[in-house]
Amino acid sequence: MKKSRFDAVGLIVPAAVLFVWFAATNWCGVPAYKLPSPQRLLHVLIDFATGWYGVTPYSGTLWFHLWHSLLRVLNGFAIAAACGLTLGFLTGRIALLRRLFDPFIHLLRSIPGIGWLPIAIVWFGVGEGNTRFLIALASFFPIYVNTAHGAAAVPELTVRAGRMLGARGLTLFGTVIFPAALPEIAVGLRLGLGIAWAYLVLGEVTGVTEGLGAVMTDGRMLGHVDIVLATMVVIAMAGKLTDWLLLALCRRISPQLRKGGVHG
Amino acid sequence: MKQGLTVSSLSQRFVSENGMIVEALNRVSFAVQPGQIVALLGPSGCGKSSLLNIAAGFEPPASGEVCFDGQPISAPSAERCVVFQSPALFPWLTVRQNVTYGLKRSGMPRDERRQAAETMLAGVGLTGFERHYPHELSGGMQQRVALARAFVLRPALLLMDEPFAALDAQLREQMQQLLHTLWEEHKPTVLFVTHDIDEALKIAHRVIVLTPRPGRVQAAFDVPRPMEAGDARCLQLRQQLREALFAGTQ
Repeated sequence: MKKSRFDAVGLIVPAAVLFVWFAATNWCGVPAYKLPSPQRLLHVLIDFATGWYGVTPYSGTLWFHLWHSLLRVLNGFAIAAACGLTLGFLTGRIALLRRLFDPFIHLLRSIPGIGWLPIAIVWFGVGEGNTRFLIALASFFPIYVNTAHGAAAVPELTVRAGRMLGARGLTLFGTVIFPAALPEIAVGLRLGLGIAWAYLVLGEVTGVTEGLGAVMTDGRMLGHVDIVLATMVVIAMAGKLTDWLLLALCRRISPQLRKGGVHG
Repeated sequence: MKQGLTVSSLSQRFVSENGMIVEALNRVSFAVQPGQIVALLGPSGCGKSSLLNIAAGFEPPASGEVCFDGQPISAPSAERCVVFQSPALFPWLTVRQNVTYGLKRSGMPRDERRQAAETMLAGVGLTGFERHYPHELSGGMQQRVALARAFVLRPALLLMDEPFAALDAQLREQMQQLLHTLWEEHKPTVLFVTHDIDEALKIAHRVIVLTPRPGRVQAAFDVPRPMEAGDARCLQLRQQLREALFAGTQ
């Protein structure tokens, strides 16, 4: 039941990649406008966060852009979670609603998220609205699918145990069905949050002025490959961090997630 | 008004997977006196679990009815507790939380719940495991928690669906002993489903033998208490039960 110990073998490949990268950019003449060196990237990254060196037009603006991106992700994800959990539980537990809604939702799911971009621009305009729409739409599906499956898979015996101990209605839902389905719901939420970050970038590269995706597009057009890469690193870290927070929250509610099996 | 459990001309049917109508129970009638332990003995698939599910209020019968203290049963209630064949504990709750779950639903204050759980867990020999989760316990310990979870509610009726069938012989014997000790405290009415003759003889005041599907009452025997497992009366009863069980399968 202990947390898995740190495994140094996992460091070998990253270290090798870092070395090849360092060698290619410092000794083999790969030009900086295609791939900046690792030390340059670190330099730009620190400057992006602190504004100490003023090496790019974006010095010191990381927090401002990250804040805007984070708000969009959380906003879209919250909408997706609210809809996905509600609909998932309804179709997972009530056969008639499942027959009514499930086929249609799966039909919609077969449209790739990117395929919604043009129509989202028509409906919500370029920028804020379409970004939130895309995030909410794309992260809805994994949350819905996992919630519906988790809710349907709660063993009948568990529900009966709750009923014979005196739980009914909303109490039965809150104290038996929800916690029993939570491990699967957590999987859906984590997938959804990951997709929310992916669609954030998609939405933001299409015309907002603040946000990490906007910095990426801007950086590319101004020839600042270093800031493009720095933004990619920031998005990766932000995604990982929010995933950890979400997992920590789920583990707090559900001890089943604490007994290993689910990793951060 | 205590009248115990009455099962009157109860029938149950299912539609099987290939669309056939399967008769599980055919006009079963019997009564269980208040405070009596009745074993329902029958071969596998004779509908004894169906009967228990109807008595618990999980399933409606096709016809007939089950009444407890004069009231027809239509929905589950905490005064009729069930112990299932598998422990069916809530894996997200600790042992103590599992035991206090029903008390919490009935609105008992927190301190009283804890006190009751502590006494009950001591009774089933699980003191010190209050903060463990079910997956950290052995199968036998989990089933003891399930017993504690039911008995702590002091239910008027206990429905037990082959609760010890999955345990090894030695553990089963301990659990049967434990059941008697717990029963002594407030003497609930117990309907105990089993396919094991010796188990029925060991715990019951009365044994009702069901035929194979569709289940009908084949015979009923009173078991004098106390009775030693080896004495002549016991051996004779055992033989009679065997014959009744066997007669039904012809």
